[in-house]
Amino acid sequence: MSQLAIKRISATPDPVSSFRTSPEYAKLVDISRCIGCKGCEVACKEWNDLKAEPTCNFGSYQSHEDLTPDTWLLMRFDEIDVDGRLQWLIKKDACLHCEEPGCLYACPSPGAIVQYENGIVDFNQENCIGCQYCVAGCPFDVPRFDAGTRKVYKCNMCIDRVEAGLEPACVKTCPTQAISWGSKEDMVAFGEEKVERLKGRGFEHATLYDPAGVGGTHMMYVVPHGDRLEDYRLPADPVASPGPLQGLSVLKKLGAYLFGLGAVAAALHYLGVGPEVPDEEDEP
Amino acid sequence: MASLAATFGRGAMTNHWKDVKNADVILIMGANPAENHPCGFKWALEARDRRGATLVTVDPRFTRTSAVADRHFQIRPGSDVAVLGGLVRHTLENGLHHADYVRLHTNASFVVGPGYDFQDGLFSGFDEAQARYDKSAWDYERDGDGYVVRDPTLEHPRCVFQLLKAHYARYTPERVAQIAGCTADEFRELAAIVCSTGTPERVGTIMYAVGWTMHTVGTQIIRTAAILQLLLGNIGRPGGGINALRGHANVQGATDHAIVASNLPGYLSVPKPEQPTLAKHLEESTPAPLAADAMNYWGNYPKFMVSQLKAWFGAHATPENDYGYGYLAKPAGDATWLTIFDEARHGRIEGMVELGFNSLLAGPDVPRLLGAMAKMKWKVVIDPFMLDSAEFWKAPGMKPEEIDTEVLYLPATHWIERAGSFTNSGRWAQWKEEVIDPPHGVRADTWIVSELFWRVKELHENEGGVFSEPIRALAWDYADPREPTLEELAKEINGYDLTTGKLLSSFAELRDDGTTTSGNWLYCGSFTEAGNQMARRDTADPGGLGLHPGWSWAWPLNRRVLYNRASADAAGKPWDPRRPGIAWNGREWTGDVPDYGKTAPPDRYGAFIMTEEGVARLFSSKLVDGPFPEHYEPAESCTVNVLHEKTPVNPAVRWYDGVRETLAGAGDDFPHVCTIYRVVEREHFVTSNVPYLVEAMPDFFVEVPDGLAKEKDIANGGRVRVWSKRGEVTGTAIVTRRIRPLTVNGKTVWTVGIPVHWGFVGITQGAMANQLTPFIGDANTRCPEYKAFQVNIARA
Amino acid sequence: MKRDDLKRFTFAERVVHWVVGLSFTFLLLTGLAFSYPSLFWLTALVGGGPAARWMHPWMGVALSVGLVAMFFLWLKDMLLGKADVHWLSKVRHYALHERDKVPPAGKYNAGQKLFYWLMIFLGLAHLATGIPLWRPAGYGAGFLNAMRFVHYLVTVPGGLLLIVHVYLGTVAYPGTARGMLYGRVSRAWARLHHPLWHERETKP
Repeated sequence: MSQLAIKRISATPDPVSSFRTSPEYAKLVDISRCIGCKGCEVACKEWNDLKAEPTCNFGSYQSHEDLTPDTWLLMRFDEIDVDGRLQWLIKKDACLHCEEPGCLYACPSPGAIVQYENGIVDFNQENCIGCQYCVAGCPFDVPRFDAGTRKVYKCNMCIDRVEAGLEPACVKTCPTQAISWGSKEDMVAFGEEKVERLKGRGFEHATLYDPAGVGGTHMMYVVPHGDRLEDYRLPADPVASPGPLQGLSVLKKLGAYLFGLGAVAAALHYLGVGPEVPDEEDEP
Repeated sequence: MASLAATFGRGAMTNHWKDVKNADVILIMGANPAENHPCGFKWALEARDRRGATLVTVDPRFTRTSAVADRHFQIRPGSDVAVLGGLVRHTLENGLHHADYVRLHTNASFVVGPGYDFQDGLFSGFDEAQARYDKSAWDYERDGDGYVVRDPTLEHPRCVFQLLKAHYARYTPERVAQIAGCTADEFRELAAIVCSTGTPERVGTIMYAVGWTMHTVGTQIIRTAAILQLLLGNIGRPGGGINALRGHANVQGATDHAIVASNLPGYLSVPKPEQPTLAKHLEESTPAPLAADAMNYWGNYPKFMVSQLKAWFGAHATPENDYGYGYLAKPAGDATWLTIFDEARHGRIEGMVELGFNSLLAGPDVPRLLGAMAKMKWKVVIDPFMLDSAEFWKAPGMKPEEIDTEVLYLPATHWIERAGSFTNSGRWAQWKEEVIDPPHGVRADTWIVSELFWRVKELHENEGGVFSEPIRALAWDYADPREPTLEELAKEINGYDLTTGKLLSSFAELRDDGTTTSGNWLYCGSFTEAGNQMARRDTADPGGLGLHPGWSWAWPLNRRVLYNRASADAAGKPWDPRRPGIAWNGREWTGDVPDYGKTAPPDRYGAFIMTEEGVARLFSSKLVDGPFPEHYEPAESCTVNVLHEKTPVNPAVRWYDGVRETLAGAGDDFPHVCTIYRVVEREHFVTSNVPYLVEAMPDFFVEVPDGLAKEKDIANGGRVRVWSKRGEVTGTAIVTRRIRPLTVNGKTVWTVGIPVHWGFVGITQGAMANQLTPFIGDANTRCPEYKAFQVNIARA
Repeated sequence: MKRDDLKRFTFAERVVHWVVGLSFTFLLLTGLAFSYPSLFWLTALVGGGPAARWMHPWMGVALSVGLVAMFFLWLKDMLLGKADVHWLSKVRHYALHERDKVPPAGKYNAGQKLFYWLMIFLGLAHLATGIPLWRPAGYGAGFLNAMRFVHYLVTVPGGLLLIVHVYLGTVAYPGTARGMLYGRVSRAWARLHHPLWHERETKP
């Protein structure tokens, strides 16, 4: 495990205290500057040693129909009409690294998902049991289960690079600087500046996608047509919190007591009443 | 590039990549830089985002560039001259041109002789039998000193300005729409954006690439754009220019070093048979000034030529033997790409060495190429990867047992496996380092070529041979003569002062008396006594315009923006003081390295020092197919030429034997326009060997407009067959709304798009796009017409 | 084993019982491991987390199959009647070994019958909620959370019943386990726990 300051660990009580502190990072994807070159897609594979998959063209510029355990970043291409004018929406699809990570909350395996103070939500496959609750827990449908290894995989924000003070590989490789990297605070400010610029260019619904329902994300989007989030395959109101699972954890505590009680009751019964042995001599 | 030289005096991108950020309007036409130049394209986005520049694409398809542009206008492939001519007309009719600039820096005021005329699509001087123009019909009117008569009022009926206006008066929005297939209103909207920069406060740039050059009128398309930019006063200015985007990292470098068949390195001329002596060659190649104030820098041609001969033949180049001029070949025909394969097809070429070139996939009309290749006795392919071109004998449909061609494949290093220089589109020669070691046993091409030289030389020395002298006389003075280092070659290209033995620092030092050498005068100054200038890495940007004078080295003499004298007015004051190119301070020019005398006063010379006129040419007799660009239909077209039905196609193109029969005629059923192009995931053919890139764009595909797909019952992701009169391809259909139907001359026309990157060698195989393309090329450059031809389509 | 022991369970009954019993135990232990980080080590008993997670749903299948077999095998004997209600009202005496106050039971007493029905019900509930949890991709997070809640909820009575069942079947009532291991019980045991059944079996 990394030397970074940890914020949350799956199936482990919060908060994890740490004497280390680290800045909160964020990646900002400016969709209005993205040309869909897939440089980030390839850089992601190269840096993370993900295998090249035998793809086949399915009637699109898009390389894969969906994210896979070996494709953590996918450029999606969609043709839509906005106000009667054709737009080719090109969107980088990958883990958003939520502040409230639905995947982590859902994960039953201790240490399989770790959230660091810097905002990165990382999967540790050696601790993953393959239950895929994270897949369902993710409001963005990002983690992917590999039926071969029976583990779940997703973008780790190139945590090894970040730990070494470098930006993620996708940021590094982006030829048009559509992806920026910096502190969350700076990126929010930069994103808002970009949104203002887009509004100036006539994109009146431009918005910074940093959804509050998941406590904000560490990959944010500058979305030109903010009123058409669904066309970018971005949920308008994603939600993740430990809340829905709180009932379960209360129940689990209760269950633990009940099991204990059951065992103790049996023991007490044994000591107090004892066994009832059939009287073999009673045989007629 | 021929067209830019014909207009400005040099054939290269006028500005440079980073300078695009200084523009107010960016017209991207005949190019798809997001796809093909993603790294440089960021500067267009910088202009859009930081300056509020308007980004416009004009293309047959809504491309990845269009996806981030402010506006996209769809036109029919091959209608570019019509659209640009319409913009020229719009500018002139509405008085939107930069009048002071046009008067000062162009030949608008030059008076053309009475021999010039234009009728029915033909300029005067056309020889029908030879299909050639006698360009003397387009001569200027001269005064007593041999200089051109000028009319500064621009009112003389035969002055260039008036002729230009008259020529393009026909290109009304309605006519443009009729040809290009857009609507007149769309065209007007485009014109309003593009023609808005004819003022000192605004600058517009044009980015183009092979989407313009690959037409039978390719050179003239670029000329039209150059004329438009001159009228708007956008040449020589930061944020302006006409910017040729070169496809590979070093295409500009290859062009500078004579990849074009009619050139020697540095754009010197290949000697002709009728030039038996150096004196005769120099006389015919050295232009005389046409204006009293023309610097006419090409007047120094003899210095460049003699220094080049000295670089090649060293001690064997003496005044007595014309510096070895007699050693040079003086080919009678042209050696352009199409002609080479036409010769091969006629069995007149015995063998061929292909170095870093996949000719089978790169050339038009694959069936014809296969026939031509099979006629050669031998073929040597030198490349990092096994190529389709080396395995042409097992191309689909070939019968290997009937082919006698012996093919030798020599694995060579990839550029990533060696150092050297790349000259980018903006003429920056940038030294690079070796990144990874080559695989065991793989040699650099310098070793291969050097070894070839030595073995041929040894054969000549041991066994004798015909015309041995040039081979024996060739200078090969390297530390290891069997393998020159790249530094040695770079120094040789830069050149030496033979008197002092020192490296030269400028081509101004070149002599025509045999005391200097320079392999390529343009690169003189790139490797000086101060070291390898191309390896400089100073990122400082004084002035903030992105000139970076300390980063690498740009030809000529580290000038970052060509013709920058035109960025200032008659007094040397920048048109736009916020974006100064160079400025005259009373003693010298400040700013960029002046494309002008450093201390020459503003009124001493015309701003365009490379032309005989001293100014840029709106009217140019340098090209073979006309002094003004004219719209001609592609050799294969879906419509008559509505401007002149009698002259549908560029009359000056060369028709190779048997090509007319391979073009769709009136009775054929090829109703759809097709164009071919590249995708960003692939780099030509070499990336067929890179797994991640194959994964990113795995299969050959055909882009089919959704309306046409419905008509033909073609499903998205399904199989589709496309055929021309020459061949056919089958691939996956991408049904898209990014290509709309056009209304061309009253008829609905569909455009189909096809990428070029597939062949039968590589990780994934796919159809060769050039199965479909016609074997015909531009009248000037012979660059094949890949971009517009006719096909039919069906579900497969 | 004495020759005069009574035959209580057939081979098939015993197989079914142990399929259900062992799979249920496995499921409970691995389930507890998934539910309590402090018990996660239990997965090591079956080869680690991924192995436990992989086997858990398949064990669930085994349990379900066993329960179905059990349902049909014992249904006839497990129907509840008035006598059973009466027996249940005296269950306190049963627990305190006050035999004279416990109404005589047949082959199965009312507690056993109730256990049977509860197990069938809880098994079905586990199965229904377990199927979406098996391959959760594609279900909504809210739905799955509800499934997880119910899946756990039904585990609590299931687990408690297992404790009671094992305790009673082993140390609390010696001689009981024999029946499920070898199929036979002693006459004395039968007379004590299932007098009516004993009577029926020993009737000449």
